[in-house]
Amino acid sequence: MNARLLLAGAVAVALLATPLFAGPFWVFVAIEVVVFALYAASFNLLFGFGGMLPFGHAAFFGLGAYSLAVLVKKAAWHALLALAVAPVVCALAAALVAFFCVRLTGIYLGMLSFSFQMLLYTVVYKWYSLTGGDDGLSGVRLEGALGTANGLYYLSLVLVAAMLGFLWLLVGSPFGKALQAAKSNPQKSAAIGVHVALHRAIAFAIAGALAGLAGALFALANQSVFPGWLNWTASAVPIVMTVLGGMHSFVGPVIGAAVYVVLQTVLTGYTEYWALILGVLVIAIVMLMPEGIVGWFARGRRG
Amino acid sequence: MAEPILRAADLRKSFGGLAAANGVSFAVERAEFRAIIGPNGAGKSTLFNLLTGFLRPDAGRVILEGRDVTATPPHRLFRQGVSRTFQITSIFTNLSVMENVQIALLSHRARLYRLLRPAAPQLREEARALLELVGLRAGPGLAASALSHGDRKKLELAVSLANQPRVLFLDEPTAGMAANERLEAIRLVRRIADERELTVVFTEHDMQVVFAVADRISVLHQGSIIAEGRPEEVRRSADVQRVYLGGVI
Repeated sequence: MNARLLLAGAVAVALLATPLFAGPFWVFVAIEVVVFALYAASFNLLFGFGGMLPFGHAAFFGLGAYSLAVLVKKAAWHALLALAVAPVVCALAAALVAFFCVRLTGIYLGMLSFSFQMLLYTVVYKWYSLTGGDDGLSGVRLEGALGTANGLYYLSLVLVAAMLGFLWLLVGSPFGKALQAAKSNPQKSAAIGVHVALHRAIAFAIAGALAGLAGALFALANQSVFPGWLNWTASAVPIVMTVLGGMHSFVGPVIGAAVYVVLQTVLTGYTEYWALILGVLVIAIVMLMPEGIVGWFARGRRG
Repeated sequence: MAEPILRAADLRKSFGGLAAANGVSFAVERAEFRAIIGPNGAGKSTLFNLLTGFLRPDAGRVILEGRDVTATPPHRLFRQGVSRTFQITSIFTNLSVMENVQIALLSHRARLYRLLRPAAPQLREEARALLELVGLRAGPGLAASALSHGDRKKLELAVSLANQPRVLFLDEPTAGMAANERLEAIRLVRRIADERELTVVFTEHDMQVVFAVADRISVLHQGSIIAEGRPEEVRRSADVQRVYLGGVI
């Protein structure tokens, strides 16, 4: 336990000190790590804890990014206000999707959430006047000290840390335990009074909101949004991160996101075939560490 | 005579052309220990699912304590004092023994929508008391997946008692147990039921178990109840003898 606290403290200090020793490029990479950590953790609330595999989770990441960008660029909102509203938009959209999804299981749930993502992608791609179509929207800025690279980094760090703390409490709460019970045995959960569909829908809305916050922060970091964030390949990202880090652990997706982003950044510097190397790595991890990086380390410690 | 605690009126349910429940009517008195027996495919599981809200009947009614609960979903029946176990032992294998009972207790206290307060310290004493009641001696912190089959059955029983049910449905409570464990297991249930004036409806294949504890027995055959009565009456019934081909009875 003490070793854990020490490790957590060391990580916190390292994260807080990053802008002191890292240049602007690596600060941007650090923002990406932090943002995708939240994105992957929100996905794992549904996958690892809820037993649902939504193939279209990128819908909410993209919707969060576009909500912020449209509100800032087209409605001239202050970026911080848009940042607060984007997750609410995503929660509502996720609740709507959940209404259709949560009664389904397995591949059907996955495909329905995926088709919602493709629907959104098509709308964003075609609605040129609002979304900029295939050009996306640029000049999505947060003015002032918070809008600098370091400012955005600390803003993301604080918000993501708070949201990960919220998720941590959530999975240990009666709500979270019931969600896990419904994953293990939905029929028995119903027999002990769990409204399985409603429970899953609430989890869906929460996961959608947090993915949306991640997307909105990512839009600010990039100062732009692109329709590719909503394309079908984007939905593989949180799945790969989660599998990489370990779905049966709370920190697994967070570690997976960090490893994914750093690897991608480093590999892109050497070869344009970075995705090939990443793919081979994922295959290796699935074969050799089926519980992901975190699961592998936990097993190593137990002997 | 007082209003029966549970009444099924002409329940019908067909799957394709097969009538799994073909007009089932029966009544269970308060604090009764009722067995439902019948050969494989007689419709016992279908009847259980109709009575506990997991299936909606094509026709007929389920009346619980004078209230029509025919279309009531399982999660709501739990709040109305109905509990059940499953033929395939159903526990939450991704939670600990303690958490299995806690989650049912939390549900009974309507605390499932608390999002931020840790579940771990809540209702531990109540959970421990239930584990003791069913005689589960495995450590409460143990993963439920690590339990032996017999202990899983005990855990499921403890979980199903969490809402202080007035009616408890047990689908083959001794399935998968060794012959010598079965009587002990069902007597434990009977003792708990007597202490709590609990009404129990159970299905069972082992006739020794049935005749040892049941107050009354309903015999189900091809989706209909063909005989009903006290154990000695059912034992003598010619219809029952025929259905079981003079076998175990």
